Amino acid sequence: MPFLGIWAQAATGEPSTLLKWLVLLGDPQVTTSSWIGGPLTWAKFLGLLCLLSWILVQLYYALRGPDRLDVARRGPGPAAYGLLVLLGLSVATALVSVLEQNRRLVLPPIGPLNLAGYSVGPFTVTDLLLAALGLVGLVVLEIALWSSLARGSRGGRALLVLLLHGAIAAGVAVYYFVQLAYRQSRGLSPVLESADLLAVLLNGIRYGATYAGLICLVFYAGSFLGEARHVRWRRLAAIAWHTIVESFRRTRAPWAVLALFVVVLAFTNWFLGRGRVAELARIFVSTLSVITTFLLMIMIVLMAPISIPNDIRQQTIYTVVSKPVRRLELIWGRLIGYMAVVTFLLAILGGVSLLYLNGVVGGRVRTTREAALAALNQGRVEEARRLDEAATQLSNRLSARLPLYGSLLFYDSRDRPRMRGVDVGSEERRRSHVEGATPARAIWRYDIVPDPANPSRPVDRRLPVNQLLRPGSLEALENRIVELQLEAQNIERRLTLPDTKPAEARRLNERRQAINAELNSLTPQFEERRRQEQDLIAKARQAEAAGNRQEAARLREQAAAMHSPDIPVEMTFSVFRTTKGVLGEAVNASLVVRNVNRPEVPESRKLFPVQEYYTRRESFPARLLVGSAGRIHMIVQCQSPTQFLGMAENDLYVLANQGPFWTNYLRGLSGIWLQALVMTAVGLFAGTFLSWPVALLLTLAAYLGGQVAFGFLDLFARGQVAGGGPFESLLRLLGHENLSTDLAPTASVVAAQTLDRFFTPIMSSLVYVVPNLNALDVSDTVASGFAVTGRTLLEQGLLGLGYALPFTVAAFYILKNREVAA
Amino acid sequence: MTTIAAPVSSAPQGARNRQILYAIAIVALFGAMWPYSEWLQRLKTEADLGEATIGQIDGSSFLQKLAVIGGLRGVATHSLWSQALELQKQHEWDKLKVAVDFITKLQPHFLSVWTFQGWNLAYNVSVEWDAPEDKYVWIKNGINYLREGVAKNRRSPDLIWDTAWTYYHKLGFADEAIILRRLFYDDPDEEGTQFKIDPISLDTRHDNFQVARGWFLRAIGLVDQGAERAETGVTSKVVYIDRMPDRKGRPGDLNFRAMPAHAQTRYAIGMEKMSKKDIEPLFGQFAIAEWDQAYKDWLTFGKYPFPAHNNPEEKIFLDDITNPERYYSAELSDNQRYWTNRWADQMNYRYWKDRCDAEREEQGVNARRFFYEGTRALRLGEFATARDKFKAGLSLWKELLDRHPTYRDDELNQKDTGELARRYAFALKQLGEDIPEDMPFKDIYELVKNEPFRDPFDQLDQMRVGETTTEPNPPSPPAAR
Repeated sequence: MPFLGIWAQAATGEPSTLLKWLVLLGDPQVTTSSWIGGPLTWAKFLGLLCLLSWILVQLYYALRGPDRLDVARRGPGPAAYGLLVLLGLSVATALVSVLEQNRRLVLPPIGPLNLAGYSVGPFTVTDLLLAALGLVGLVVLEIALWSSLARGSRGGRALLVLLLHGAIAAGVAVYYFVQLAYRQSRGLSPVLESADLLAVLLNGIRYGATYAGLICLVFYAGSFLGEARHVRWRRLAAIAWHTIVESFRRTRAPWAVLALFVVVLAFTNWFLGRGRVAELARIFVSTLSVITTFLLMIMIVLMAPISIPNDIRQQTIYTVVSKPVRRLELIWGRLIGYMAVVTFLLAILGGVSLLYLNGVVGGRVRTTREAALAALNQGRVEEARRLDEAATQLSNRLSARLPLYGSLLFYDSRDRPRMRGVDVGSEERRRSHVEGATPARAIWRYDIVPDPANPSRPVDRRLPVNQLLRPGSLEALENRIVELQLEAQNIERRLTLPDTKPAEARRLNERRQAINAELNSLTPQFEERRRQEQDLIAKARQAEAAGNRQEAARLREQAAAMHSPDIPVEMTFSVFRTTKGVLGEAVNASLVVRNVNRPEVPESRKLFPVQEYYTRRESFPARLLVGSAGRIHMIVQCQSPTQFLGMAENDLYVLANQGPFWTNYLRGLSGIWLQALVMTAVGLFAGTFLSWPVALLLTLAAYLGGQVAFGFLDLFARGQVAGGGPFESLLRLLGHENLSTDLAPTASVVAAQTLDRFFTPIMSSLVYVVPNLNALDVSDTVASGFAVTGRTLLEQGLLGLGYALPFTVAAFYILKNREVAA
Repeated sequence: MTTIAAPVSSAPQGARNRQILYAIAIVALFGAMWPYSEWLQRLKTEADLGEATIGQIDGSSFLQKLAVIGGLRGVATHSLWSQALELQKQHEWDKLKVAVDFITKLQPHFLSVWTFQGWNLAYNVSVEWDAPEDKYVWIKNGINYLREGVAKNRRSPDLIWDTAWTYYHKLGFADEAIILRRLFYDDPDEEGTQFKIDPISLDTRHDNFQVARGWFLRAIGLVDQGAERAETGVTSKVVYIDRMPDRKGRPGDLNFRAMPAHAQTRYAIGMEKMSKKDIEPLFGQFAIAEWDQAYKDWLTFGKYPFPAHNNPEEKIFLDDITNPERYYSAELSDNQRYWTNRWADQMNYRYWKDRCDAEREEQGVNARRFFYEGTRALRLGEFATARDKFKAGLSLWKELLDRHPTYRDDELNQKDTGELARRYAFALKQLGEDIPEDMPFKDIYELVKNEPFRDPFDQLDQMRVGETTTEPNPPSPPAAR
């Protein structure tokens, strides 16, 4: 298991597998690159959320619930006082820390303290206040937990409380062993030093909380599955149907969406149709996607959160819950109903969009081709070429290209390998450059290559030869023969090795016989086909000699049909000029394709002018793939002296397939569907515990947060936003201060920064809850004319479910515990 | 927590009544709005304050503003602006174009947006593209963007001047000007943007300098009407807050008024050399007519009464500097003489006027034809032809310049004429002949003989001359003001 973190620089000794797994389970920031990593992180995080909500529920019960504390019944008791102290302490802590940071308050450090032979510290006052805060919080929580347990004697809950405490203790123990293993790996003595103590305690609690969260998750999941077992399709369908009818009849929102779409579509052409021809498809497709997404999302955001509050307000829910309907069915039924409406609308909007695109963009392809032809007839050759190029680009964008990417490696002008080429100082950092007319080159390796992020791990980027060669073609047959021959050679070599065991030798011999049998049947077949092809060419020559051009062309075509077509390669490079060069002359590049497995096969060479921001299509003969085992290198060099060619890994790819646009567009709509699913779940969730206006606002905020502000939230959570938290930023805005100046520590600034100490963590943790809607969006892939693969669909689907499912589950628990009806 | 209440009765009846009430209210409000909007429209017309006064009314944009975002317009504009900056960093040019178009749909009367983004597209985005054809597309995009700004803000001399300047400078003075001007020449403007229309004569022009001249003239015409943005015809006083003054067309703006003459001169110069890729130059009556127009344009500039810098009451006529009788007469005060001299120097007025005067003569145009043919022969290695052409040209040129001493003695010309002499000498050297003692401009030749000068806007000096060249279309005469 490849591992992040503490053992990265380990000199000796690997920690045991058990400890590795415990760290993987316990540290929310550690993950693995195998498939389990993603789901595990998701589970750890959900677990922490479960733990948090469980604690909040316990506190709520302790103060307000049916088996609340006696003290709480009579008036404010110790728990309430504890909470008050907690509040006061946290304000004090934040204030002191802000004042210390601003140097308005200079307090001497305290300590170091002597604890059982260990000297700990020194601490700042803020540290101590924080510790006190933690202690008081712990005490309050414990009082609340145990006293509420003592009241309502529920066995399950007591077990859970005990398990959670155990988990915290286990966390500390695990981290202790982690620390020991670390010391051991560095060759240090196995006794912890004073400095490690605090780390063990704090990180141990962190690990413990994660374990506790996982336990909570298991508990919740268990009880949830118990409920889910009772869900029946019949009831789900009934509620879904009711939801559909309701949305069409009562709110009429779907009709409004359709009407608005048509209106917006009518205006779209006014301000989009004037761009560059080659880019038209991209602009139109992405705009149509944006409009579709926007309309559907607004519909969902308006409908989903008000549905349950409306039922409660109009008291129809009492009729429903008095029937044998599960609460989970109430949620999922609605979800299914809304998604059915979304599916219906998406089908119509998608269909209309496709017709529209076909009319506008397809029409533009036709008119551009006609213009190219007209220009050619008038002798404007250069312009005709340009127009034709633009039309080709445009029609390529209106397809679903399936690219195969290699792994890019640079060699600099002194022939040394580099991860990146020359940096020419462009703001766009994606591309790096290759110097012209020097040995500098870029190599796209289709091979088994080391992972750039983790060189010890190989990644397989070999070309799928059998997919690229047409079955039954000469090249495919020859490839099979060469592959078998190579395998046979390999077997021969292994049989001669002295340490080959008899059993293996027998197996190898059997395999060799099988290979020979296949070769014996394939070789004559291949020879026969080759003879046929040569016959055809000979006949074509004869026909040519006899002056029968048409016949010759037909024969040559037949001969060509026996081969696999050339393999297309697409590429987009940028140009950086250090001199003006010759006026009007493009920078030239060369592309060499090489079979690494069989270097004796002659390589393919192409020289072409580079047109910036245009995708160029070249190709190499299919016979280069014969016997390559997918191992192909593509070498690009800049041929113009003093000029540079810019490229990134995705700038060159082999085109495996070019599918039709419309299926791809429909696949792209799945991204919008998933966004709608997530937002429906959020809306239903908000509706279960809020009144409809607040639920609506919350859903809208989640939508805006996920769609517009997610990037900002992400930066904020990682502490990369300059200018402080929300209140400090507000002060800066009002005071016309820039983002990076230090504010004078006036009373208002200190107050704002103190408030920020509370709000910044809340805002930062929003990034874990607000759904990242942009990640579900694949419209850019579709708009650029690339295929949305099944794998992408699967990943997107899982991501969408990963957001939607927890929200519906949370909605279920809230609805279950609400007193909507006795 | 909600508790169960008694079911509400007769809801459908109440709902129906309410719906009828709402419908009546809607109709009534619409009815009331009608006379109100009519009244408002009348008031606007009276005060000349409508959209139509400032520029063209854009139905879609108006609709967008009102219906889609209303009060959030400023926020949306800001967000689009920063989005545009980001798109530019990511080299997403086409999306950038969509974004900046959208900004102006929302804020059509915010002049700086048009100025900045028009310049941005024509100057910054165009250079990011390697092929001159693509550069041309983006320059055209930038110019059309500015022109759209003019259409929506008809009273802004700034935007009109920016448009003119981009035609003049970005197409005419870029490194790739020779190719760009050819692309302009060929541009069929299939999108129907009227890109090549001279706004004064409304004719299609095939030279960017001609179109630029029209736009410069339009800006000057607007300023001469005394029109500042949104001010003419407004009966009541308009109070502006933080008003941006117009950048162009202030009383002492010499450059502003000299630009039509510059554009016309550049056009005439470009006509007599291969300033467009593979397009043959034009001489004869066409060239004479254009040089004559340039001369007249300089005179128009010279005869414009500029207010003296220190005393706006005193008027300065730059042309006085070429008219010693008037210049030294008692009509002019010392102060006027001072400013006339200073500004004429600043604008190099004497040179331009005398140059146009010289070049518009048949002799001048013929000499230029010899120089062109000589240079061409030189590039093809036909040295004897080159020698003969230069010899004939230089003797014509000498005669002409002796009659135009101001032009002859100017430093600009010394470089120009010196280079011609140098080429003649080069042809002689290739033929193994000595430089004759009586070679015209021998003094200038001695100065520049080691400093070859390659005209950046002449294909003969910059590029290989193609096998096929095209005879140009004869130009239509420029429109006078």
